Amino acid sequence: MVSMFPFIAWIVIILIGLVVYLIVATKIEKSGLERLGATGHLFTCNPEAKKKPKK
Amino acid sequence: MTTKSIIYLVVFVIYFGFIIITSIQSSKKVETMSDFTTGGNKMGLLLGVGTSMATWLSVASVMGVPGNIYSRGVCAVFGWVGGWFLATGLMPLVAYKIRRPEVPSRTFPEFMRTRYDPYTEKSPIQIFSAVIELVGYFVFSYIQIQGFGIVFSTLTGVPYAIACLFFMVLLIFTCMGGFESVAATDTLNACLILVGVIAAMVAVLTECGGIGAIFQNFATTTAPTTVGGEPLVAGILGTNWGTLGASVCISYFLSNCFGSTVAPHWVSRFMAPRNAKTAALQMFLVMVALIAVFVPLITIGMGGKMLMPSLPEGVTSDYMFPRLIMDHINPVLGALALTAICAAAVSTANSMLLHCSTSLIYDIKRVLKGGEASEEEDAKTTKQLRVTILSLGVIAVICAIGQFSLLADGFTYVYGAFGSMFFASIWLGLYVKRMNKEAAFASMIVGLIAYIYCMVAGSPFGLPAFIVSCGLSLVAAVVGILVGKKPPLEAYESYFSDHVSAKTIEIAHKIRKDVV
Repeated sequence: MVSMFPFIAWIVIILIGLVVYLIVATKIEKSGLERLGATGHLFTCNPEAKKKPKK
Repeated sequence: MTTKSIIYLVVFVIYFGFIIITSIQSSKKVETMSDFTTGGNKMGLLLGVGTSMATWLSVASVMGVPGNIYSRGVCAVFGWVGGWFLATGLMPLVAYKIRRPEVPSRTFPEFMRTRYDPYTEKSPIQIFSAVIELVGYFVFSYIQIQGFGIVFSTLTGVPYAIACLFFMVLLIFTCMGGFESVAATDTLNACLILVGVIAAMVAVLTECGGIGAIFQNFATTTAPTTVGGEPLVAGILGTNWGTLGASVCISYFLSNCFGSTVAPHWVSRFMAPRNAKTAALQMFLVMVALIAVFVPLITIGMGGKMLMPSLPEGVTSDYMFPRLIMDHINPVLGALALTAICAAAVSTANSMLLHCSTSLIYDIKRVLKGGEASEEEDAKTTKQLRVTILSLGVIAVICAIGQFSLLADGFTYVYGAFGSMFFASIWLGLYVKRMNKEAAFASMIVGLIAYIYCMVAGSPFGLPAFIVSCGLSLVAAVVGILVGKKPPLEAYESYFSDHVSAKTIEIAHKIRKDVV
């Protein structure tokens, strides 16, 4: 029987990574500063993109 | 030369061509010294993900991870893969803070000066950090060249020294264009690594008869790692801590994790993106993308034990993957896998050489020389950076032709040393306003001495070496904070506030020697 502990630990670590990113992204969004990359969305980072007119 | 070798060589020539064309195109974009060192702090998300992913994937991961799983068991998934993933998962916390200032630093030693010693022109902390960076990354570059040379010569029959020279040509082409060129070729390399390891995984799964058979074999095998060695205890490769034991495995995990979060090349990587959120998001996406690379690498390591129960005498487990390619994978898939190893070596070594070069010229020579900033001076520095990369590349190749060592272990030692030295000065520097110059120096020196002591004489009470050295380093930092003076506002303001004083911005420009 191969131990599942290393694989489960790996999955938990990936979830920790998600939580850490969300904490950081939320902080940036709360600042509202475009200089820091606030876009109004947690998973985008280019404030210039929304300013470009749609073709 | 066999048909197999010819196929390998043809695929390689195509790869060489791609890399050289991409490098030449990217190098044309370099206009200023800032472009050369950090891509002008304007790197976009996709390029950032590509270059960070490729930097993660060195020969130590592409060859070392399957090798460690093969010889030490599934515990390597926790010790190495888990450690690296936790590091990547925590990196947004560092990336956000490093890229937060309106005028970010260009290099890691420059960050150390900005944070701890902003008013000293010839800053000892900047020079000290640059020297450590220079030595550490030279070792890294050398390990990459060596790994590539051995693999390439074994598989194609080309002499080892010639293989190293080939590698040098590739390195020079990718580095001469500076950061942008390194980032562009890295992105290409990241795609190749992904394709290569997936091709190898498919071949291994087909040969073994599926994942069930691989797990079954791994749980029962007693075959020694090398022919003639002591047989393994049945099932040990499938246990929580494998052949390493809990203490050693946890130590590797912590070294790989915390050592990586504060490794100077990562801190520098966080300065390049266009804003703080890009810096954080790129690391999160890298972590997700790396799953697609590490699942194949783990499968290759476990499947290797079934296809090749023991390695020939004198062959270390780092070379299990190349052996597998040679003996068990069809030449076309093998050539792709081989290109992945090469791409991993190139993508890591070129960033390391760039760091060596910027440490020497930007952070040591430029700082010691002093004087006023000017456009002529910046152009001269960019030229010197290119010449230094060339010279360091030649020296690294000469060194690589000489010696051998275990790849993943070598990496872990340097990461462990970086972690012990810089953990307190980076993490506390970014999250504790009171962290000062005295504390930073004390933590770096105590961390380095403690780590070397643990490596040479063994850790006290059998504790993981990293816990001992990093713990002592943190204690030294706390003593430094209590005993030393409060740092000036200009040292920490830009890492803690979104709006800073004009004086802080003026100091940041002065440290960077920006031409106004």
